[in-house]
Amino acid sequence: MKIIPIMLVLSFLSLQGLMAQGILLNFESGNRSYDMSRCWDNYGVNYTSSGEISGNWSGLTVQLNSGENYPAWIKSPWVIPAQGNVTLQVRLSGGSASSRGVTVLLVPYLASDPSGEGEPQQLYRHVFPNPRSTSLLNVSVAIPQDYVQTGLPCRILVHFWGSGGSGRAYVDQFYVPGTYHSDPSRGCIPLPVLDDRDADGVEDDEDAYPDDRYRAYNQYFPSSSTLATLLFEDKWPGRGDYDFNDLVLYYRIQTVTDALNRVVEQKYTFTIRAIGAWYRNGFGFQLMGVSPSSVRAVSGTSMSGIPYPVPDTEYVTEYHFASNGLESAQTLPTVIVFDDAFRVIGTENVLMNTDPTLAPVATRTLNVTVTFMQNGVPGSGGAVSLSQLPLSQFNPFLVSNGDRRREVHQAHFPPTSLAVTTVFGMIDDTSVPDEGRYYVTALNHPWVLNIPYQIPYPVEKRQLDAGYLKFLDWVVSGGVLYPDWYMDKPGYRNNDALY
Amino acid sequence: MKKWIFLVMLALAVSCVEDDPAANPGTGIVVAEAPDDFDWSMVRTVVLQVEGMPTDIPVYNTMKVSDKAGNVYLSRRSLMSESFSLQISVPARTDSLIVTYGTVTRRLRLDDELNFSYVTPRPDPEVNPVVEPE
Repeated sequence: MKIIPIMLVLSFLSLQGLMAQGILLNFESGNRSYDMSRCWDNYGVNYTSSGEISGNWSGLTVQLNSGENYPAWIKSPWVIPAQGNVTLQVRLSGGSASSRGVTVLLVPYLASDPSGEGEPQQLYRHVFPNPRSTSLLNVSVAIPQDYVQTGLPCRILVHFWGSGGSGRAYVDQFYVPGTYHSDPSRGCIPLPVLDDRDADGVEDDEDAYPDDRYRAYNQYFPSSSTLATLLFEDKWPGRGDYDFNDLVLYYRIQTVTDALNRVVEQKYTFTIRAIGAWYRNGFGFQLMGVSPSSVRAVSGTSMSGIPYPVPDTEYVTEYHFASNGLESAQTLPTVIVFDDAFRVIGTENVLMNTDPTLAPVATRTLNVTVTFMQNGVPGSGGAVSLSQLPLSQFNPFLVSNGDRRREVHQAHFPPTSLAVTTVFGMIDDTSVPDEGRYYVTALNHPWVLNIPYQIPYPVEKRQLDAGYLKFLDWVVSGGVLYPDWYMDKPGYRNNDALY
Repeated sequence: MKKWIFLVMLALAVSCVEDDPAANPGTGIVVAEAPDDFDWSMVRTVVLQVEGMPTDIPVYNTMKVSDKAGNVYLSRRSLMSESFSLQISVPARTDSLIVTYGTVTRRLRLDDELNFSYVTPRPDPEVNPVVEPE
């Protein structure tokens, strides 16, 4: 008794194999949400692994007792239909009923409708002569030739209906001849023809550079409209005075990627906001996730090229650069943005914007570009991906008092190849390179703070916690309390101590 | 000898700074101890795991990761069937991220594992639905 249905199924499947390319819903994912996300729309049809028609799973409608209100239906994704038949298998669950039926409809494409769906056209209607019967119904109906010839997409809609009783219907092997034409990333509309002037595969609405095939996206840190803040103490390995204003930089990083998600360039905007020091301090950064040979060019830095007369003849005051603009003799790409903040500003040993009693000094902004790809060609070290350049790999540092070897980094960020390491562990520094411990005091205090927000900084002679009233709570709580200590919220700031 | 001279000069430089921490009025930073493993970074790098969904044809769209204020941290062209992971740097104060891929939108809390799926959960239909009378 079971042989005949199995043979019927096999012949049904083999016929399908001879048909043109098509799309098939066989419920074998066992996951209604999954198939719906792939544009097999569904209302009132559960997935069941009990009483299935074929395979391990079938569809099972809700109770079909609401007349032809269609309490259950399945709708295919959009297809460009091909010559052939829509097929599916249906079996009633049995039980008393007044009527049961299944209807197959073609939903034509209608460009003027936002969903793309026009008025459905009935292709097939079957009324079960015995609504209690549980025999298998093989539905096979041709898609009208005249619609196939239009080349337009359509969807195939199957309604299950009935009245009386509590019976349901199993469904399986729903096949539509044609080519899949839905876009599951756009609400399952018909595949759109994208506006893409530069033909890079990114549609113009999403493309930050719609006429440049070598660029597609911008990513910003901290954001396209805000700046981050770097606060430096420059007396390392002495602990400094905790006003964190020896050098204050506002900055933003714009990372440009192409349609293949390769990093084309990084554009750094650094604004020298304040200098609360007498030292001639420089500034640079290292990118720890890539190799120097991945960088094609560096531009926009400001090197005075004039060694400042330093107090120690042992100081190293000269900088050396490779042809791509990176600093030489470094194992990781290192950019020196400027060697002397005073010379960038155009002042000589004058406190800049840290003493409210003094006249404000105009800030200066440097736009530094690190180029990884030129006209689609990466550096010899290969293309760079975004995952190689998270902010945790951005290692900014201050070059203290004109001595290239004296670098001051963020807590637990390593020095570059050119830094003096013999000072580690001296005076107030407790760095232990073998343990990855860098640039912290015995109280685990840093010399540099990197804040993802543009903030005012302490005025001269005021410590950071005098201006930021939640800062200490954040520190002693291990970062649990007030992770937003630097924000401008009620009770967070004492503006008298901030510039 | 050179190192000795350097250290002497360094000590002099430090001792000659005008600013004395103790003289700067604060509320205790000079003596407050941070935990040994304290992370001074105010930025956290999170990993977003994207689970691809098989599609009948290659489907591309732009994936964007933003916060509720609209700050976009990452944009990339992605193949819907591809599984991959992304590192994203966000301010540590951020509590959630919004991931969009065309019309697929998910809000992910940062205290959970960041997993993105294209599959939109749908409730199973009621077996005996309430149907409006004709």
